[in-house]
Amino acid sequence: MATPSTQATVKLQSNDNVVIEVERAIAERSVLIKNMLEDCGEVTDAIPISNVNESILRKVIEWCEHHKNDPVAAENENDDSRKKTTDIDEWDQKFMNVDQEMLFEIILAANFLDIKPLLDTGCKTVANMIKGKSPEEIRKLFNIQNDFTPEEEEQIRRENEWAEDR
Amino acid sequence: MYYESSVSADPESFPFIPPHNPATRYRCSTVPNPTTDMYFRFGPPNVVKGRSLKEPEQAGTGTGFAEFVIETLAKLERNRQGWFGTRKGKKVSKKDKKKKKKHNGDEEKDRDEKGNEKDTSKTEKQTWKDWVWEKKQDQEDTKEVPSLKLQGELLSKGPEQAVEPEKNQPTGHSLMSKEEEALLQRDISSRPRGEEKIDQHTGPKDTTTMDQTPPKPTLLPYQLRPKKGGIGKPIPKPKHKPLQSTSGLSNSPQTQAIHSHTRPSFPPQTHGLLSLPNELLCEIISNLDSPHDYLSLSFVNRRLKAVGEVPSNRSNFARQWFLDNTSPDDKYEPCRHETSKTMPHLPAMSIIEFIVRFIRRHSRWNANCTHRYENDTERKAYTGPVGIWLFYARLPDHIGLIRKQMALKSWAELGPLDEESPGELSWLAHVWPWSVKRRMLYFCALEKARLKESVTSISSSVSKELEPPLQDIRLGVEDVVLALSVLEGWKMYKRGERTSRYSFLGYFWNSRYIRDDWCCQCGTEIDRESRIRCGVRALSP
Repeated sequence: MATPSTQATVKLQSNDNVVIEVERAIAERSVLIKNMLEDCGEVTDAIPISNVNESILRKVIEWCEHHKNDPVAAENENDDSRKKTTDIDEWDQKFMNVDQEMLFEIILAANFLDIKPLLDTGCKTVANMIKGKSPEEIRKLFNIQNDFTPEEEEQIRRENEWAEDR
Repeated sequence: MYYESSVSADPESFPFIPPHNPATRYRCSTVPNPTTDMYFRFGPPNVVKGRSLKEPEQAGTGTGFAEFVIETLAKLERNRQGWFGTRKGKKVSKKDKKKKKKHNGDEEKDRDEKGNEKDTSKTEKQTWKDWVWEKKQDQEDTKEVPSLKLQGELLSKGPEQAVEPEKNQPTGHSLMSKEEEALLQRDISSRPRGEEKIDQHTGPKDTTTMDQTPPKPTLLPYQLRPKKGGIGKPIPKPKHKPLQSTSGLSNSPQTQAIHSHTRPSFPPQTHGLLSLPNELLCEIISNLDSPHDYLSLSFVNRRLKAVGEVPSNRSNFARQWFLDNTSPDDKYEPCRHETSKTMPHLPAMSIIEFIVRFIRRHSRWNANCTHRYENDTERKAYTGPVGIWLFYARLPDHIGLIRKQMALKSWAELGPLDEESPGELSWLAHVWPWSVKRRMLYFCALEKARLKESVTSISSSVSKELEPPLQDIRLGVEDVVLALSVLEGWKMYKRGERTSRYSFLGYFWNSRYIRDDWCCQCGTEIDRESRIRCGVRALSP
């Protein structure tokens, strides 16, 4: 194992070959980068982030900068300590107030970079978007094609008749 | 068919208009055929039999008409030598034309030398000039875009006829005179539009030849192009394929109609909800706030339905929901975590969670949960102050399908399960504000969920061991629906909307009493003979 380095900044290279220099503490909000830096020691070259483009990488770095002082959750922390679904910080709500395409790219980037709080925030945002909507409204919201046959739909409706409020 | 005529016949009696013959109705006036002209004017040339053209004196009986005929025929025969063009459908090449030009020039010279043919040579010269002029005109026409007027008229007839002449497709109609053009236009315009469209591809019928052979399809003027070898050849097929042919099938209206039926109506999205992997969809689905949102998302499409039906996702959602909706705060009384007074070693449980677990645990046809106090005296001793049987649930475990349904129905009615235990489930009526039918449907949904769990879980499907204690039961979306319903009932009660079903008794006395004092901990209680008193076995096949 490499010795822990005192490197102040790290370079991150997006998949469109844009190099962004960030503080190491900010970059280490990502468990992936943190483990990589711990394993490799001092890294002078840019770390390629192959699945993330420049705009999304900048957005993720922006989130990490804002949350750089947040306590890092323990790896084996119990899931029961998670916040409620609707509990999203105001800043995070504004941060996630982007178009759908970018929102899902942020979620994918957070999953790739292993930034659990950001991933939770993204998933909660999507969950809040679904809140109180019917299946047809969800289809319209996310441009999803209904691939059920009418018979299947009727069967599903019958199976879940008990769940309807009456 | 010949019209026999005698030399003595009156010329007026000869038919000047030939009888109707479709093959010879139209003829090309630019290529006159004197023989046929005479034939139609005066009958076949063999009317004067045995007479040579060089012997007019011996031609007949001396009648003036016969002599006239012979002389005329001789002149025309000489004229015929000066004409060339199509004869009996044979096309004459340019080389032949040049040869004939030379030949005619020689003849002219010969004729010039002869004095007796001077008059006829004048007419021949005039005809020759006319022909040269026409020839030049034809050549000029082939250089320019010919018959624009005719094309314009054709184009103006409709879009189906609008075939634009391309630059590399110069056309020529030099063989057609103005009269014939007009005739052709009249012919085209007299046809119905549907036929016009067909004629654009097949070409019009050949009406310009005198041949008796079946008429060949003739190309329209703009379909002709000049060539060294001759004019009037059809346009060869282009070597390159048209663009439409490469995707012709997909662009045809029929296939477009098919594609429009199967093609998604929404524009494709590079990063949408369905672009996420299943693990992230599971993460999103577990963060949903309401079981109705969970079920709505599951009904969106097949993939989301499959994700929503995974038992682990359902249990994760339920666990998250109960975490979100339980609180140590007093104001959330039914959701408040409380430790049992009688069994402090057991984990705390809110009233709502206890109710849901209790119902899930016992709403099975093979459930066998007995009260720890076996006789009625003991039971009555633990009866509440209002005389309600608080807890005694027993579902027979030796029943078939009919009995099972009856047992479930009794459960759903919250009535007595047997004669010895009247009203043992009545307390649930205060907190379970559903109709009997909905309760039955709920039991069916629970059975289905259990069946899926037993399929995915090998241990539960194989072993017939007792299920884990009440607090360890894995809940699902169905339980959350019930819990939400109970919570809504409690909120109604708190707002003062009292009904017969939502009562203080049901929520605060009975439930808590059951949970704290009569705590049913299925699987943990044992009787005096060290038997498990209250237990639910796995579903037997």
